[in-house]
Amino acid sequence: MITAKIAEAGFSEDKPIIKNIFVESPRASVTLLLGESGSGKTTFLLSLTGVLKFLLNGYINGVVRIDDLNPLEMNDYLKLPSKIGFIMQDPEKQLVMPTPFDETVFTLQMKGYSEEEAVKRARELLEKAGLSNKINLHVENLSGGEKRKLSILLSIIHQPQILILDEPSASLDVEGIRMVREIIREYKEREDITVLIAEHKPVFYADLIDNAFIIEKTGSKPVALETLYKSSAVDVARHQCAEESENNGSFGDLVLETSGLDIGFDKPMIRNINLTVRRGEVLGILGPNGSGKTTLLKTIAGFYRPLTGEVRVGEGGRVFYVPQNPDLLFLFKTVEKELKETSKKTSFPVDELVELIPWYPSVRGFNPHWLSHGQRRWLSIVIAYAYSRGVILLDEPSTGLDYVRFNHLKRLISSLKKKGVSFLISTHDPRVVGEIVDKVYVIDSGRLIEVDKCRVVEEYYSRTGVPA
Amino acid sequence: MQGCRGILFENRCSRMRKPSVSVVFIYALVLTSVALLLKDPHRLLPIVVFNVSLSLIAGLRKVWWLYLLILVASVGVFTNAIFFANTGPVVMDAGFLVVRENALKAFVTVTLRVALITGVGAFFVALFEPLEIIKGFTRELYMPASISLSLSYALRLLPLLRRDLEEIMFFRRQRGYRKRPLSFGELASTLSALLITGFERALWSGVSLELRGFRNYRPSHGVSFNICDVLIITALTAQLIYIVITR
Repeated sequence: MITAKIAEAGFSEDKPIIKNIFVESPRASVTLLLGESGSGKTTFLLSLTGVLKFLLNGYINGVVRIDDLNPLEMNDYLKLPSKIGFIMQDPEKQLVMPTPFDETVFTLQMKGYSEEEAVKRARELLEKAGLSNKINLHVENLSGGEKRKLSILLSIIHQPQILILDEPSASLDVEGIRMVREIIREYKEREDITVLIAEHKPVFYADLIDNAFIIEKTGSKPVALETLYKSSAVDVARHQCAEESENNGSFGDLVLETSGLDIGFDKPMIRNINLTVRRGEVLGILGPNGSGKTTLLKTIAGFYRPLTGEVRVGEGGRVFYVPQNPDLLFLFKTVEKELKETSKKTSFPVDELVELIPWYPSVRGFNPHWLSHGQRRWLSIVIAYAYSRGVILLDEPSTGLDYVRFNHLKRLISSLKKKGVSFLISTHDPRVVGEIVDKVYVIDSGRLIEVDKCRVVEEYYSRTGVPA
Repeated sequence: MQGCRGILFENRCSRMRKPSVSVVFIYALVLTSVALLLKDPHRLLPIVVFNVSLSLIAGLRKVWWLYLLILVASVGVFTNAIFFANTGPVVMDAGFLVVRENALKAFVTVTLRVALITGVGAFFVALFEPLEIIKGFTRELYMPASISLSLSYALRLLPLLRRDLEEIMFFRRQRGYRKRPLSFGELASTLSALLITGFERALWSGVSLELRGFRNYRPSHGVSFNICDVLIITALTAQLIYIVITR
């Protein structure tokens, strides 16, 4: 079981990040941790495992117990890795060795296996996970889904009694979410386990949880499941598809067209792409991890060359690509400078850009890199708008956004749509498909196929195994 | 697998036995010292020919560029010799350039020394992948696990850094700036984006390692010799005997 009574915790004594936390997860139960982005869920997990204290030199005033261990005591902290499995939000950051084989052997050696045993077991495990033909490839050559599979495999390689998951569904496709659900379900069937999930999209796990807590700036509180299921502030119910788009299906001129486009590197990932985007239209691109969604957006933006075919942009228009990690897009030291320089380059009035950012006065002097995740995303879209005024290409824009911030994103896209901006969005998120996009394309066996968006949303939930 | 040099790149390993990293490292270290100590070109030459051939046999495609660098470096060595050691009888007089015996001798000696150091270095590089070297150093030469982990992590990170840099350059161009940052301000903004992304990645990798039990990680140590090691030790001994008897 897990018990945490934390009065305060943070990275430096005078700046607590979490306060008044009481979270209890009994043995043989699955507990859900909710809270908006930046509320301190991850800091709580780092406090719970002692990492905040012993690795990150933070401070924790309180008491923590994980089964019979006190992770805030050094001796118990050292024993903790054999007891817990921790699945992180981003598999990219969880993998530290160049190849899957080295990563697996290294993890097994950390768990106390001799090198000979580790080598033997690693081969067996990778074979079971379907990665036997990729054991010596550089990790960067694995698809996103394969990286996720590997990181999950490594987290539960020692059959831990306590499983902690930090936003496991962020950036995951249908198969990935189904895999995580299966693991939680398997754990739930055992009697000696405890599972703790911090998640923005509890809809994927709502049927599996036994209790829930919400973490806020002022403290934590338990949430009765009945209340949770009825809440409209939390993403706990299946999203319904908005059948009618705001424009009732009528859009402006053609602003982007691809014809006979093949994209990929050595060999085509997607063939014969014939897309048309009209002014004010929002198109969604769906597909499994590694199917070529990002490559398609980058090819349209000019980052990669098409293998064959062409991309035509409407007269006077421009495309602008906003990456999954907006940090790489910022070039200046303050938000104010970013907007002023953008205005200089694009001749777009700076006042109009400022108007699009409601929280601008409180952050104008901040370095853009230090804004919250949702604010960075917002700023990057505003910059994109100034540059393109035509088509904005958004790569997984809702990753890591809670429901409140997702609604902010939706509002921003909707207001830009009214100004005639079109969007091409690569996504896994049924919220985006159901509520933002007008038309959906799915990458299936190397082809881009238009599908009914409501059917996609419905299928998405049913394929992940989320009950109706 | 036991006879093979450990756990890395096992597919290749199972096809070909490799010597120990430590044995080849010591071989390279001893011959580098020989290159620095030996002054006679005629004694250096056979050793250079042997080791350069060895490295080319071990991996021509992997190390050819090292020899290209020697060609470039030899121009500098020659210029240096003309300026600082151009004394003794004239060997060549081309009007605008007079080459004397000591300049030629200095040029040949230094070039042979560089070639020998490059040869043994290239042999080492041709035989092992970077990760094998790191693992070999940890296992056989007792390099601390934290250092070997940092080096392995660097191999994991380099492609990511390259990818981030390519993206930043693309975004610069997309925003109407020159692709490559040249001014101080441009370099600072590029580096800050790279560092922030890299720092965040490193932080979470550290957390991941900690939660998987890195503090309990005890790498195995030991060397197991095979026939390749015996051949390398024999080659080293033969070259040392040659140096002694030709003194």
